[in-house]
Amino acid sequence: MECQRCPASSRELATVESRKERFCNECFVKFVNTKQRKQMMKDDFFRNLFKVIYPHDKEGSVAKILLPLSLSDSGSLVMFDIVHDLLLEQMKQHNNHTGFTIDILTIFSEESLSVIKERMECLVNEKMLQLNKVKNIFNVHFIDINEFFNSTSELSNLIIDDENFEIFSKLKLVNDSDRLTLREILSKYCLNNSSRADLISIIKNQLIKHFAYENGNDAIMWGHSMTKLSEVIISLVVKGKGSQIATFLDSDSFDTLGNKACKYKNIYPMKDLLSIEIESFLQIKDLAKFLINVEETNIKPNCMITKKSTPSLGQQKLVKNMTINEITTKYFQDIQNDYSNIISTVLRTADKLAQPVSNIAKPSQCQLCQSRIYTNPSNWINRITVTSPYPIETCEEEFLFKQWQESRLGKSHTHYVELLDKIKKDPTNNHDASDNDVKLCYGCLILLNTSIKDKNLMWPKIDTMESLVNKSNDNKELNQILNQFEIHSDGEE
Amino acid sequence: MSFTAPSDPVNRPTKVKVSQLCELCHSRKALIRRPKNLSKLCKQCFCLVFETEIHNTIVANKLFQRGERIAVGASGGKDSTVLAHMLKLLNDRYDYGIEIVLLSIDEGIVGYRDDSLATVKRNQKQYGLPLEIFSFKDLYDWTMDEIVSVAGIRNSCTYCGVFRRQSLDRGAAKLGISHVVTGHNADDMAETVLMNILRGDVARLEKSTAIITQSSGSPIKRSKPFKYSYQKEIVLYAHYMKLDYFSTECTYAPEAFRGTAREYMKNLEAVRPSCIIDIIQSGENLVLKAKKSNAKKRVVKFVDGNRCTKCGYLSSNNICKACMLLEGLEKSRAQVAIENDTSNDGAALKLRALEKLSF
Repeated sequence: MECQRCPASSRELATVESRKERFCNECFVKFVNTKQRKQMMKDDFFRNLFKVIYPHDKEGSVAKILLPLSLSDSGSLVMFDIVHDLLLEQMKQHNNHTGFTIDILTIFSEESLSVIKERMECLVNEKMLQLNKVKNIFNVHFIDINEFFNSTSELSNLIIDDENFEIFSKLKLVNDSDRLTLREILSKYCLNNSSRADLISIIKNQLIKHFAYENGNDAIMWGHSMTKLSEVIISLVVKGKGSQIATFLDSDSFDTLGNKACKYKNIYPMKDLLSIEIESFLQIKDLAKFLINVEETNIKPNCMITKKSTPSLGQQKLVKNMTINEITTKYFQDIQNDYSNIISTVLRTADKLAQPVSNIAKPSQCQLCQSRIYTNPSNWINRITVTSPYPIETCEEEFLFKQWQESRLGKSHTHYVELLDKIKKDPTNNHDASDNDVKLCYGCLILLNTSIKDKNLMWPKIDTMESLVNKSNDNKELNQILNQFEIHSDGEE
Repeated sequence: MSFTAPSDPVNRPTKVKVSQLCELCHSRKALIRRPKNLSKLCKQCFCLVFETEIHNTIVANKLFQRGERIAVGASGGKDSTVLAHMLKLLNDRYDYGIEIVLLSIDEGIVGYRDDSLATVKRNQKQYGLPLEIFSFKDLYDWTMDEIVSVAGIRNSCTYCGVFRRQSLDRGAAKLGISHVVTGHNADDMAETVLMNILRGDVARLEKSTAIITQSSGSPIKRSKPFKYSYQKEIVLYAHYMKLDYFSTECTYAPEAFRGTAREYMKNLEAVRPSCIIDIIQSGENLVLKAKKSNAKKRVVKFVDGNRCTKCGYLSSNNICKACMLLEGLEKSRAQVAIENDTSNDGAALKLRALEKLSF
């Protein structure tokens, strides 16, 4: 089978089949490059960010782009590779000048540090060093995920009344005893894998956005493929966060972080590419070696003719151990054969959504996920949920009730009610009975109410977070890689 | 040694542990865990809470007006049986002042609908409500069994859905009723929200969670008092109240795509039991962007309230969907047929029986 894109006179053998078309390696790489670059040139704002502007010394002529690189995700790695090639092209065409520089941000946890170090070393040597020898284009930053808990000076103490779905919050200055690590937070609060994944995703997202805000970046390039975006969209609907879809996909407006207005926009350059195409690109360009948590023998689903995917030998997870995003991924995989265009349909539909009209008096941000709140979630649930009991009728019921009252359960319930009453009367506490200051969005309220063990959560207040830019690379081992990297970072040779 | 009588194993009172008690009344043994908020409830508290929540939904959304006649779409299944029972109960308890009529549609599926209609007839006597039955045969001169024999089993839900919706409206209009209440529950609503996103049905997306739907120009409005009620809770309520309902699923295959969405939601419920109500919450907040006006494009404006040129029923096009389907069916109808042929009757039932055969 021959490539359908090569000129008729010199047709190469096809290696990839995608969207009912056959490609050779070279044509497929070009196809993927074009799809990404088209998104990067989607409007005047991004066109001005990514193209080379003359004169070069004009202030703001070189944009600062943040590229969150997750070495466990193919999307961001492929995006990095395409951007790297684009920068190489710009340097060749414009006498060593580029339209933008890239801040690469990798968030790590203690457990993954050694393997991330090893892979980043390879990536720096193979890809970045070549360009940085000429000009300081790539700046690599590492942030420990625990900085989310270590960098804030204030904590919000969120208390959920699970009978009436009311939320109380109290600000608290951080003591060292209050500081928990991610691992402690997850084991203390989370009941299942899904809530764990939700909290990790919220933390990573906020760290990245906070970094971009402080670092003065002009845009954040997210490596979400069309498949991943569709999965996130459906997952948001399932988690009761449908109102956030429009903001999540918005690349026309500047972002907001808590109450702060940011100077960057979010962009999804890979949104026209399916995950199977990204995996094929990864195989063709031999990029899988940079990924972590990937077995060499295990090839993910792709659209290669020659190198088909190999199913994982590991046992398939039980549904109850899966996260909502994993269940959604599995759903898409299962129906993709019968309903092939479903992924693009979901994204196309979501792109048509707008932010809903707010029903609350004062604009509020969720203290957990920082998204905008449009309705008071407590009022909404209370409107559709009744919690008044059927009256006690018989002597036996009366007896059981007394037994309950005198038991430890009954006493702790009475104590709980008294405590709630005290919290309600405390003027320093805010609670959501009115629409004046809503604390949590609907999705986060349900997350805390159903998947979190303790209804008393201490969560960092993002507005009080210290500078992450200074904290990035604050790690001796990683600095060894960066020292190697910084030799040529003073300027052009 | 004195004789000790053995304890009576049957009538011995079972001791209820404090931890097993209902979380609302703390005086009776909890029997269910509500998916909505995971609270453990006893039978009495559950029934009271379930009834009051539906009453609250009716009142908050002003579903009924005093003196209004309403038609309950009754199929004999669990949803419509609980709905008929509930509306009668709440009408008596809270004095809505409404008149309830049971309205059934006979699609003509031998071995399924004839049995479920027998249940509706029993319900009519049990609740003392008037019952009216309209059949596809009378309205369209086709039964579902005949349609399936011509159009195949794969499209059965498309035909049945379009004709049944129209039949309910036509039936209500004939009875002089302008309000049809259906037993669509939270699970159906959540499924619809997901399916509208998955299929990209933008036109229906914003309205997918509307509790009252009415086209302008149409005399019939529809409402769904079970919008926030979980299917599981409806079944439990029917069980606790010992309601008489028909529990067999339609013998024709369920719509394949809806089946996938249902399976997906079942998996989600294992991880997040509240997901059904969460999807509805999301659905209520899905708003479309304002359309950009494009002067170059010739815009054909859709007028709500258009009428079908053939049958006069509401339609967004010149010919309504039902007339279009009927036209296709008529073309495929056999020119010559055996008189009193019953070979197509209950075709689905036979197919189901064959599927269950094992050797």
